[in-house]
Amino acid sequence: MAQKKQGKEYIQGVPELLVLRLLKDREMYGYEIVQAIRLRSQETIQFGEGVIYPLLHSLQKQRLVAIRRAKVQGRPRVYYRLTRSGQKKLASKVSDWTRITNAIHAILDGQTSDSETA
Amino acid sequence: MTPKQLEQLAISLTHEGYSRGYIRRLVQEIQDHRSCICQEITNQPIEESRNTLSTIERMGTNDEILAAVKVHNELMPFSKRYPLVTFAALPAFLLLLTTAIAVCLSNWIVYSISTGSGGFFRPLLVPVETAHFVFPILVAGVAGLVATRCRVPILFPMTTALVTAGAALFQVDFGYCVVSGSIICRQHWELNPLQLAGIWSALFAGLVASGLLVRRSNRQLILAD
Repeated sequence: MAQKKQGKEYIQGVPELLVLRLLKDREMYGYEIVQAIRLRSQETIQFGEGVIYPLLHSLQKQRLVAIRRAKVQGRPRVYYRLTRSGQKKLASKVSDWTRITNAIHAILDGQTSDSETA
Repeated sequence: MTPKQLEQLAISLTHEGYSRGYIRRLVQEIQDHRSCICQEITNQPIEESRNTLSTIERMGTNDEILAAVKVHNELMPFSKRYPLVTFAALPAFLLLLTTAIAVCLSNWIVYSISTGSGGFFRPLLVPVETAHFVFPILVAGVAGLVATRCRVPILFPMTTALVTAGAALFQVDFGYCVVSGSIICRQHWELNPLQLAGIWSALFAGLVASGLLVRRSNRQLILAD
C-alpha cells in the first residue's frame, strides 16, 4: 500500500525533484532554473515558465529552499538556494526515483520474476 | 505576458484572496523573468529568433499560472497556508481538547479507585491528589506530541504551557471535575464502572484516531506536492 502511494507521489513530485536537484549545485533565480531544465533535458521538458514561481514559493514555505533578494539592472530579483531540510528531501526523492525507475526499466526490459517463471 | 495580462493576473489573485505581498512578489518575479526572455531573444541571431517562441507563449497563460498557484497552495498543509490562524486558534482548540481528555481520563481512573473496581487497572492506580497534577500534564504532553507529529512543532510547548496556565487562571480543580463528573454519571445514567470505562476508552480512542487521521492527511498533502 505504501509502495503504491509512493508511486503516485513520485509522478506528482517530478518538478520539485528537478528544482531541488538544480539548486543543490548553486543558488539560482527562476529564469535560470527554467533554462537549466530546458538545456539539461535537451528541450524535452518544457512548460509555461511562469508556473515555476508558485512551485518555488511552495518549496520556500516548506523551508526546503531559502531566498536572497537582490537588485539586478534596477530590477528586484529573488535567488533560491537549498536548505538543509531541502537536501534531506532531495536525497529521499532521488532514492524513491531510482527505485521506481529501476522497477519501470525491469518491466520495459522484459525481466520476469521468480514466481512468474515458476 | 503583457503588462495588461500581469495586471489581470494580479486582479484574479486578489479575488482569490491571496495577500497583496504575495501577489506583488509573484508579479515582480514574472516581470523579471519576462525581461530575461526579452534579452535572450534580442541577443539571438535573426535566423534563430524566427524559430523561437514569443515571450507570451513561453511564460504560459494567466490561467496556467493561476491554476499552479492554487494547486500548490491547496497541497500545503493547513498550518503552512494559514500560519497565523494555526498559531492563534489551534492551541485554543487543543487546550479544550486536552482539558476534556484530562477530565475524562482522571474521571475514569479515580472513579475506579473510589468504587474499588479498578480490576486489572489496579496496578496503575495512583493517589487521587497525584492524579490532579499528573494526568493533566501527561495528557497535555500527549496532545503536544500528537501536534508535533501533525507538523505543528510549536504547539508542543504552547499546548503544555496553555493547559497549565489555563488551569491556574481559571482555578480549575481537575480533582473536583473528576469527582463531580463521576457522581453525575453515576446518578443520571446509573452507569457501572465497566460502562464508564468503556465510554472513556471509546472517547479517548476516537480522539487518538482523529489525531492520527490529521497527521496522515497532512503527510499526504506534503508528499503529494
